[in-house]
Amino acid sequence: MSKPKDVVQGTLDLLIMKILALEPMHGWAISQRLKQVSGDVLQVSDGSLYPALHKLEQEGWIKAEWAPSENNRRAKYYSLTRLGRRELEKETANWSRLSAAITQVVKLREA
Amino acid sequence: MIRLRLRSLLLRRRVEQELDDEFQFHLQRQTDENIAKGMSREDARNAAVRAFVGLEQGKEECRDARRVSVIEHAIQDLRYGLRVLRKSPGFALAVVATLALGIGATTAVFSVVYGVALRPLPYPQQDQLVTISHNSYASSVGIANYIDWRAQNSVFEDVGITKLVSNFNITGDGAPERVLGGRSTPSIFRVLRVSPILGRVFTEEDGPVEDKVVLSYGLWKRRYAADPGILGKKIQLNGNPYTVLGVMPAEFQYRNREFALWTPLAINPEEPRTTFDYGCIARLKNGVTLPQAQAQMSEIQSRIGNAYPVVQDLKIQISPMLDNLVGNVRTPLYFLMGAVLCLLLIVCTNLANLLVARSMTRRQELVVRTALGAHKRRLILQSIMEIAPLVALGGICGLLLTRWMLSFLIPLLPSTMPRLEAIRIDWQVLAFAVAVLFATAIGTGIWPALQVMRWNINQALRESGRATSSGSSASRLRTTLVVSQIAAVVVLMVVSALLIRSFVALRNVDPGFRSDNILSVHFALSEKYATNPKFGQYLKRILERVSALPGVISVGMVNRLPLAGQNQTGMLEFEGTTLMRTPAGVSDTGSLDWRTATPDYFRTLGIPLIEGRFFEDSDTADRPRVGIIDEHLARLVWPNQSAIGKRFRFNRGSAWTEVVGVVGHIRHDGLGIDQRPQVYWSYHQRVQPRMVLAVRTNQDPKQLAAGVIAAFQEIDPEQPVYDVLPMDEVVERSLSPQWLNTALLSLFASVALVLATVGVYGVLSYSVGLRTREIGIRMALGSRRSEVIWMVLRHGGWLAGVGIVIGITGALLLSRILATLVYQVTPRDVLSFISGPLVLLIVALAASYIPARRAAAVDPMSILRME
Repeated sequence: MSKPKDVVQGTLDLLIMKILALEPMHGWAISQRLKQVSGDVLQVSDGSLYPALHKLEQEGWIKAEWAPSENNRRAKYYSLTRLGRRELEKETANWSRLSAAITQVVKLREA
Repeated sequence: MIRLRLRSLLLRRRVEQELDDEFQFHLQRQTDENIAKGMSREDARNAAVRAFVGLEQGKEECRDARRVSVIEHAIQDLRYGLRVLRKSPGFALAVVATLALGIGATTAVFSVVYGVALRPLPYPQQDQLVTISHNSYASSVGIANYIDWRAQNSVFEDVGITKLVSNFNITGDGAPERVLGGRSTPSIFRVLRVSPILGRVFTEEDGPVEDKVVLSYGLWKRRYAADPGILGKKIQLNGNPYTVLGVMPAEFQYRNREFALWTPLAINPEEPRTTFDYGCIARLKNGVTLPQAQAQMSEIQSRIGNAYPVVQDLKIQISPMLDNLVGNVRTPLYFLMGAVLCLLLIVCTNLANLLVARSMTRRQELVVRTALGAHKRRLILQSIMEIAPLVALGGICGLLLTRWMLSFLIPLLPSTMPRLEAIRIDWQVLAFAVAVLFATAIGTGIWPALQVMRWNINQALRESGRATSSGSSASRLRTTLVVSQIAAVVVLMVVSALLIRSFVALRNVDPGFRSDNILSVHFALSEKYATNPKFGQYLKRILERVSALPGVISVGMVNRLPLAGQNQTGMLEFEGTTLMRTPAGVSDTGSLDWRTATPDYFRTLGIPLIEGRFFEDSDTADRPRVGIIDEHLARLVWPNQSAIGKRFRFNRGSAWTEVVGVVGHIRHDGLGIDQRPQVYWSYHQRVQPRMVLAVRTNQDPKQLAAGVIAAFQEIDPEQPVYDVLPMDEVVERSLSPQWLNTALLSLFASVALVLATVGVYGVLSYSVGLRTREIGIRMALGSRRSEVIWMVLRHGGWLAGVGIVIGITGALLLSRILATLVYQVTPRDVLSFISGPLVLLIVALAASYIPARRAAAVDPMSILRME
């Protein structure tokens, strides 16, 4: 079975937390936002989105509460916790370092 | 976080509902979106579901994210397991019973082995405690050596000696009673570091005067009703007053559990260096090791040996106190432990067999589930959790069985075995039981699990359509299990056959006397009888009174009863012998049994007169000393000539004793051991503090007991008696260590045989079931029923044969260890090696016959139609 190209392992958490850092959101909205901001480059299957959300919730980095949604149906809204904000900063810094390093390497090979 | 976990564990339904709601909401929003894009309602919904790749898998992963799924699954599996077991109670019962048997027997034997041989002694820093002994003289040491050791060593904190006193008669305060006790140096209490629970112990300041006594907890409680007022009072021991100084705690049981009191030891520094009468213990100084102590003490002893040639050959031995105490019983106990582990192994193979067979019946289900994407880990977890309730139940039943077995095993243990009181079920024993239980459960439960791991789904799915060749790996596994089981049974059977043969040989040994219709009564004499002629007169009155009782044929007395476990030995100087003379000035005969006997003792025990005469009542204290020796000694000392009229004496300073008779030799220490010849003195001429009355009767000796005890009381109301036993029982008791080993081994072997029979039957039934189609075809092609039966029997015989060969090899390897445990049977006794396996072969074939008959009853037509 061919799956859509998943985001790099481990970066999905980072993306989710980044999105949630702006405002609380429910699952569907997060998936829409992911597609939107990455210009469809990052295809995140819904099958992996929810487990990731639940995992982050278990870690205590995001919390969830049920609230009426835009179409007046109850939806599960996720928001970043204080713990999660710290984690996000750490992961962002990590990612910057990692991507910078990879970029360096890639350039090196081209030259 | 923990709150979240708990929530998902406890509010499972609600959490599950939320998960569902969340996914429904997602689908709903996607559908709305799709409708907005212009799709029909139905298409929109379908597209949304399609877009959500792996909907159910996603849910499952979300559940996994909760991290409690393992527990959840385990609970699920447990429930499922219990449900399944309710439906197959036979299987459940088989597993629980087998497990309980294995755990119960192993734990019971372990608690005996641990309690007796391994449990630390109940003294503070017990690993510093050592026993000092010599290379001979049954661990006893002498006073003069002790004084030198104590003065010269620098390795021990302190050293103490104790003389076992078998005859303390307590009188004056209630019924007369005889107890065991010790005369000890005050240092033993410091060595053992035990303080009294009441009062004090005697010290050096009390002087070596025997007028003080420290009571054991048991005696204090039993005889003095735990009265603290006993302190400072005087009690009568052997007719002399002793002041009670203190009471020791219950765990103080030096030198053994029968010790009821301790009095100061009056040390006589003039005692000959060749008298070895004392048990010696010491405590190592902090930081001093056993080899260091041994080195220094060896050096001291060799100095002593140089100074006193009589003890120049004496070696000294420092051993941990526990080793010294239980050294003799360790080998038989470890051997028993080995046997029970063998039984456990058989139990395990049966268990594994049961579980493998069961997992085979569920193979189809498990294969399909694997094919549908179930994780193998999950399936293995399931197969473990399914047997968990059985394991738990089996363990509990096993422990109950242990308690029951112990309650019946402990009274059977030989009373000479040390530390029986230390046998109990405590946390060490429980830990052992739990460890065995886990090892068994994992060891046996792992097989079916491994089976799951090894499956190749494709092949399994294909195979499961046709039952013919299925499970070849599984049946190979079961075959291996059964063969190893048979091998273990063969070992047990060969060993138990050896032990039975050895026991029969032992029972048939002629001890040199007749034990039937004899009542034996022990008694210790108070000091008022400690000199002749009072001693002889007192005994004579007892003899006369008892022989007047109805039913009495003859009455005799001796100071040590054969096979009763007590002894008195020494060496003598013989006149006109060619034997070498030892440095101590006695003839080199080896050690001799020293006996004081009355005239009719020999007739009563049926010891034959070979030459000369028995003692007579005219051999009184004022007459020349007369002696009787046994035939072995006569041949050894004066070969090819008559011993009558020859003389012997204790040593150079003492009077000569003339040999007036030669009697038959008897075995004193045990039926299987024949160590020493005997020398007898007339009771008027050699006083003893303890005697044993032997009464030959023409009725049941037990009937006579009351009359004999009454006779004692009439002559002296303060005379206690003890160990009133028929002589036959004394002989039985002397055999109890061998009897116990033989009985337990035979029991283990029989249980093992039954288990193995079930195992063989199970494997053959299973394989016949699998080969039904093949058998049908064979028969359709003209195979006769008898040939089919033969085919199955051959299979059974082959299994048994391979197992037997392996088992016999194992038993041969063991035979060196067995050599120490068998009597008059070579450890490679052909009969034992043939009979056990033969029985097993017959039983295995019988077990195969039932499935063979079933195979032969196959109707070829119905099989062919089934195709």
